Amino acid sequence: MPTAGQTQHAVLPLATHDEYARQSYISDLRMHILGDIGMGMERVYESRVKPAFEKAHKRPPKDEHEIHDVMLRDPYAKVWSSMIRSCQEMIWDSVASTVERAQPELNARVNSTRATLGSLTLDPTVKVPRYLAASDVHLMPGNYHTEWTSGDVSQAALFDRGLYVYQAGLAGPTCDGNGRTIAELVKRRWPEFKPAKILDLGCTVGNNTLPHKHVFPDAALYAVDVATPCLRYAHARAESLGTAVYFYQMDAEQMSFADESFDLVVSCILFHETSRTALANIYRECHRVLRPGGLMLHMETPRAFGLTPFQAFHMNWDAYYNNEPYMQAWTNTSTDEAAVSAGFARDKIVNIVVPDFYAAGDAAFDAAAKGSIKKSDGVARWGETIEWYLYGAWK
Amino acid sequence: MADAKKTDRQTYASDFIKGDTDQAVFLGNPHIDNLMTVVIALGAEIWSDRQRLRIVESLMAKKGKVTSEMVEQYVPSEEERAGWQKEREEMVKRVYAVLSRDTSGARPFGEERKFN
Repeated sequence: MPTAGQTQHAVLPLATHDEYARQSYISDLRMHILGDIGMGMERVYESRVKPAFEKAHKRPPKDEHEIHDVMLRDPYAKVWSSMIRSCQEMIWDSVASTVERAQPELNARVNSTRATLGSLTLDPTVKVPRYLAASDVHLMPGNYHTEWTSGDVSQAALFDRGLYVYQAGLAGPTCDGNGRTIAELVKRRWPEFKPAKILDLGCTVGNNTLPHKHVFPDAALYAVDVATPCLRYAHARAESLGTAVYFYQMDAEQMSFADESFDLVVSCILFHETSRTALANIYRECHRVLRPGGLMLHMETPRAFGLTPFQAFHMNWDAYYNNEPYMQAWTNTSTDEAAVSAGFARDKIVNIVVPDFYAAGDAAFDAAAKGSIKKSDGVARWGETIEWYLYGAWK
Repeated sequence: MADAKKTDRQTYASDFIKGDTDQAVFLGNPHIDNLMTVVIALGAEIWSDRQRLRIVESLMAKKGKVTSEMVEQYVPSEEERAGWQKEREEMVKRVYAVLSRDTSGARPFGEERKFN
């Protein structure tokens, strides 16, 4: 059955009716658990967990760790946790049967893709860093890099469709909402800045890479990742979607690109899946490969500094129960200090919060990107929508 | 490690929190967690049958016959897709809404007299 909502590009496996129906159901249920049921988490905390803590300790919980210890003993939080965990596992279960059925033909199709627009350069000497190899991120069995057979791309196909189910289509039909938001922000906020060469780090299947070419059609677009299945698939996917991208297998901590060779270096939701050491190394590499006047801009989740202890607890749930082991390290790491240590000037640091491009709509996003409205202005469209955090610096 | 202190405030954050993919027990007993998964999986199976039924109804109305292959090849209109989504969301709310109930006043069965 044609996959509803998601763009059916040439290498996206076709689900059966029942698989598609299960995926749609899990997607909607997950949103219900995050939304309607998830909203009750803070209510429960404020109405009974926090008062009980205050009664016992004569003070409120001082941080997310103390909240974690008491909150997860509450029956409501237990049920919520059990449901969202089951849903996360079932996202991958619901897609796996589609991918397993398609595997031999899919692998053949991907591996016979001709590079007519971009290119694919694999390097078998690149090792998957321990921070990725140690656990299946987001509970995706096999993670990004496992190859079940020679030339296998199953994990990439699992991620491509699973991501759409996870996002409930909110990131658009090609799951490119994050990348599109970065590219549109750069174009609208700094219209005089016209990057000729763009690099996307940790590109996985390239879903957030391609929009940079759409927004900056004259730019040469490069992307790196360590996961072989993702790179093979990303290349075939990009070719089928008519977008020129030069994919390279490289570790973003140690790339082989020449010094000062890019105008814009970006990433999407990368750092909470890396270690603190890797973050420092990647920032240094960003500084090295950027031309003077170039921009580094990373989209990520908010850090703990701007969150209430309850919000930080809620976000760090994923560190404990969704195999995002570095989420907590990320939320407590100063990207400003990392940028300065990497060689960027402190007064060139950029920290921006913007609404999601698709959710906000063109006009509201444009005003936010140009800084003419801020979240604190109480703009309705912003308040209702997803927001993204961007950390970076000009060189 | 060298970067561990580069934070804006005191933190107890570990650099790495080992996931507990196989060990986490939320509801006091792994079998109860498994039952939660069963409840969710059954919902997905029911929805799959519900959507199939809608397609069968549509095919019968339009073509007067239906085969498995016709179901697999069926391409719903945008209106149908939106209708399915609405029906799915309503089903999810109807089935699972009870789990968002505030249970702060819940008391063990048979112990009412202790509270009166």
